Amino acid sequence: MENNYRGIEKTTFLKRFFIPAGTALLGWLVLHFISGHLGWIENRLIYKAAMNVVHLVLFFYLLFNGFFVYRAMFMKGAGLAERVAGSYLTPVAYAIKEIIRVSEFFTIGESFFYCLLTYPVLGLFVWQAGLLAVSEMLCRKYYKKRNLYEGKAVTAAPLVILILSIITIYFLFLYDDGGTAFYIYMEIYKMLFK
Amino acid sequence: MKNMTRRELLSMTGKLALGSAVAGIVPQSLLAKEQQPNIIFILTDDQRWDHLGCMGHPFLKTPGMDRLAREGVHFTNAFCTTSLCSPSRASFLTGQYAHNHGVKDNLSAWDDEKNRTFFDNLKEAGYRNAFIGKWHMPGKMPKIKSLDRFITFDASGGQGYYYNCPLIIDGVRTERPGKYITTDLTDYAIEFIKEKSPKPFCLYLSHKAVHSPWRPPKDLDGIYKNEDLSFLPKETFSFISLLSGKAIEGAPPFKTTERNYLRYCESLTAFDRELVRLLDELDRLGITQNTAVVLASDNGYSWGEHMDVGKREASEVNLRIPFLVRYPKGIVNPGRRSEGMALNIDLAPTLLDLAGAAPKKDSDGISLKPVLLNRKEKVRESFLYEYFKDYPYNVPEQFGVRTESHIYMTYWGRRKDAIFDVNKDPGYKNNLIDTPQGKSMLPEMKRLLAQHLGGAGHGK
Repeated sequence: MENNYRGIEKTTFLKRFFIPAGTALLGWLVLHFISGHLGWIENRLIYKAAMNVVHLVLFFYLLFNGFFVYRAMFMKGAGLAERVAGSYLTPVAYAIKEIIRVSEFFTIGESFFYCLLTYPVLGLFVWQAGLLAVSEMLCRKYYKKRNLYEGKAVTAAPLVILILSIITIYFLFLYDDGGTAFYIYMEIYKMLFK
Repeated sequence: MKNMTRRELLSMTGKLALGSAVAGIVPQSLLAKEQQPNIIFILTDDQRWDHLGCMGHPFLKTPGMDRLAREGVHFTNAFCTTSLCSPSRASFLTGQYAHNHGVKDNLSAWDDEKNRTFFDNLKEAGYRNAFIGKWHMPGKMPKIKSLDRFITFDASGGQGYYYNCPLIIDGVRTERPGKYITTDLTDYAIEFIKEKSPKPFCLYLSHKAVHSPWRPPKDLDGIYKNEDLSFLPKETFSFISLLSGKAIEGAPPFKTTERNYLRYCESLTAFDRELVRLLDELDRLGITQNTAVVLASDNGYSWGEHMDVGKREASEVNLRIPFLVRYPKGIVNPGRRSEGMALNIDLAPTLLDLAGAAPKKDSDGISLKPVLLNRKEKVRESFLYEYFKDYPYNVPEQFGVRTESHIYMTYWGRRKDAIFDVNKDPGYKNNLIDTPQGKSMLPEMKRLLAQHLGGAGHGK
């Protein structure tokens, strides 16, 4: 792939991958830990407020951290594959956590298949793809504005990914309130496991 | 013996016939014809046992259900045997546990060939039958020959919609634009009971309310919005739907638990209003005295207990159901509360008993008629709870046995088996299984579970 960027220094793997992606992962782990350990709060109102805040933060953190990880890695000179891998580190960790959790009551095969269910994992992965496409185009625009990027900010590849992501999200969550997507998922489940 | 006159002979024959009937020589079915009650069974969906005004709910007003409680027997210790829509519905219809009727989850189909409903027995006893409302069991639409009317819906996988829900009326799909489903179904129910016929009727009125996604009618929308919800369990918070595995219950984060709960109550109020209308119609028709009205829900519901919004886990609020029977002609000492453990599987034997119809021989349930007649209070010592895996819901397959004081639960997978004291610990928080008390109870609980299951469990 042609390098159209000028003046972006490719830093060490530690700086361009581990620190941004690892920080995001650590943040999620901390939030996840806190969310499960608030039962000691006796005061009802404080407990409720704390649970609300932590779970909302956790929700939006999972949704949006990839955007910032991608941008941070971009600025540290990480290549496309590294940026995508780093941005998906937290969602993948989340998926693994979910597989382990549901394996308490599902078979191993079912536990992996659970990741294709719209809400917990698949939706997050699809959303993340669109978000990374947006992040890529915004990064390009940022560098182009500073005369550090020679190509176009909006190109076919990220645009197609973004559009596909939006269409899929619409189908998974909004079309028929997600009912049709869930129906298809269950039909596949029955074919595979029943 | 002296010679009898013709008059004396006729008189004696009459007395003998009467005596024979009383002694049980004349078939009950012939005698019962005179007394057969009309039957109305009303099934709500996901209604908690304690969500009635007469149960002391802080703000919910339910004059219809309160009237049933006041004029009938309120079974305050009633349970479902599987806390899930389809299996529980099949249990009401067949009088059987899920492992016997085969509708184990929301995916396993109802089998027309295998399963007989109490409608069959009622038909044979001379009833005209109607099923109106939510069928919601997997598979094709059933073909129940003993039904004279069958009005249901298959929209949204059988869940239906609160508004504009197309109905399948005796096999014909019919659009219902602008109709609110609870009212629409009640309209059809009233139409059925008003039909002139020499036969008694059995109406099975199965509502969508109060299943999610809760939508009250427009005039009741927001009536409870200013109510104080501090009575909800401490674990309740606004975004329970954001917990792992809970997202299926609501789209995060736009609908809070509080908003959903209020809509649930408003939808329940709408149901109760329709119940009042139905009861008033019975009064108008002059058939209240001879009509047995039974009201129950398919299962309970958690609103924050165990940090759950749902119904699938074994817990008191999920297992318990409202169960009310009003039958002015057939209840002794109405206005009572009964503490006997009544179950969803008791509906079929009870209705058949009240109707004087032949009992369903394959039923697992027990007739509650003796309780209605105030002849006994205790119904059973224990019952089986079973929940079969319903992928992808995050609940393990589980079997348990509940007595009047404890519940013993076994789970598929890694979760530890448990014994809870249901009276001291209704939240099921303190597992006694490793305590001396639990260890001493375990053998008997295991024996009871094996006895109820009869080899049908998960083999753990």
